[in-house]
Amino acid sequence: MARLIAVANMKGGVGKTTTVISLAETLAARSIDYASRTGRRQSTVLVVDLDAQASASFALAGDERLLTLIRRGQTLDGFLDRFLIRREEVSLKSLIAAKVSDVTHHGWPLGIGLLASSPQLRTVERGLIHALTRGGYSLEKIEHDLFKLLSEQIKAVSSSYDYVIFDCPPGISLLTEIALRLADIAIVPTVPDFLSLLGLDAFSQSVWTRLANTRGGLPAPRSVPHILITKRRPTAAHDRKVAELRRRVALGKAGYRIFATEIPETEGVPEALERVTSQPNYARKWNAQIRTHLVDLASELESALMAVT
Amino acid sequence: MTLALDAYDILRRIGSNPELFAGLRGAVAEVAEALVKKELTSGSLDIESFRALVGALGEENVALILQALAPGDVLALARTIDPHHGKPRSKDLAWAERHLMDLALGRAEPAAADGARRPRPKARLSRSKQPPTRKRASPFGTGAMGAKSDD
Repeated sequence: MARLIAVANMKGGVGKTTTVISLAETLAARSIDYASRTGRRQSTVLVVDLDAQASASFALAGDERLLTLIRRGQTLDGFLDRFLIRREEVSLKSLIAAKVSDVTHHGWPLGIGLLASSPQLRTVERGLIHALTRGGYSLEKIEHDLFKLLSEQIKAVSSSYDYVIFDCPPGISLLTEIALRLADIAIVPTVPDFLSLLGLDAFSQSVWTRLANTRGGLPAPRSVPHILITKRRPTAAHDRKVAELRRRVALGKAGYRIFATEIPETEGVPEALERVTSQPNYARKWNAQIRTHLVDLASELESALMAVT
Repeated sequence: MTLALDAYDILRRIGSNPELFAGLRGAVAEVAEALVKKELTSGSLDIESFRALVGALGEENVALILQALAPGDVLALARTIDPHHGKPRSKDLAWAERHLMDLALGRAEPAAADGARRPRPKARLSRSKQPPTRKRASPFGTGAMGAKSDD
């Protein structure tokens, strides 16, 4: 069964999608090295895009393939529309774009699948809530039924993948809350500046407190959120904020854990999300500095996932 | 006292005491990769020095750095190490990466100057036959962002 990872933060611009793509590619590339040493099969990663901005979908599939997926309704909003509104018999599994990445590692394609999103997701999610509340459903009932549906659908998919990573939109939505409840671990990318830490505090105090409430039979998240410091700069201001965060965690005052790995702000990271047409590979896409931190993060994540079991 | 750093000694000592430089792990990786890339793209390597370099740095490290080289640099290195082999001119990047590691590990030998079939100079490729250039996607006017389901 796949390990489920949600990448979320109420604040935008903290590197959620970059974390999703880089982590998915690192887990997939690492497994190619591992498979070549041990002869075991390569791990596969499924990225589930819950964000109507569809940035992760675009970064993985590219314009042409994403256009095809959207036109064919092979998106999360397509699934919700067809299954819940049109009452069609359709499974999430059948809508996944397998082997979507064109990035290779030592000549082997990264084993990454995608459940894409489209800009229509926001409209579909809102329309769904309106339609169901008009039909007499309470918000709690909608959340409960949607959780049940998506957890069953993800369960059916997860036997084909080793990791499922949810790219959650900024803010908070029904789908984000469901992903946070489903996930074995929630990664919260956080820039160590005042506004981002304010957002982190809001996330911990409002969202997490609400999720911990299991009224209505919904499960609480399986572990406390794990903070990942992103866009780290070697400045006194960032040093102070990171030290403060780590001190709070060490004193047991924070309702979260924090990865030792920090992702620095370096040139080349934003560009790495642009697709190029000529033979992209993992080592060329992520520079040596970022690769070092991504491999560290993948190892830390494995340990954190083991601790959840 | 010294006027010039013994840089090799410093690098060796950094490598022997990584815990003292824990905050610089990423930067050290970047510098290490940059140094090896510089040597690989210097144009000064031949088969013997290339094999010695791979022997010194380790097969996996060099294989990864070859992956990180720009495609043109990989092809140029293959032409430098195996100047009489016609294949690197074909711009087959995956082949060039594999061939370089085969040469490094003694699984292949460079083509002999007299025995090798020198490729005939190719006529300029027509536009449709030219290999794809490195082209970045534009964020403006993408089809996907304005698309809707056909249903």
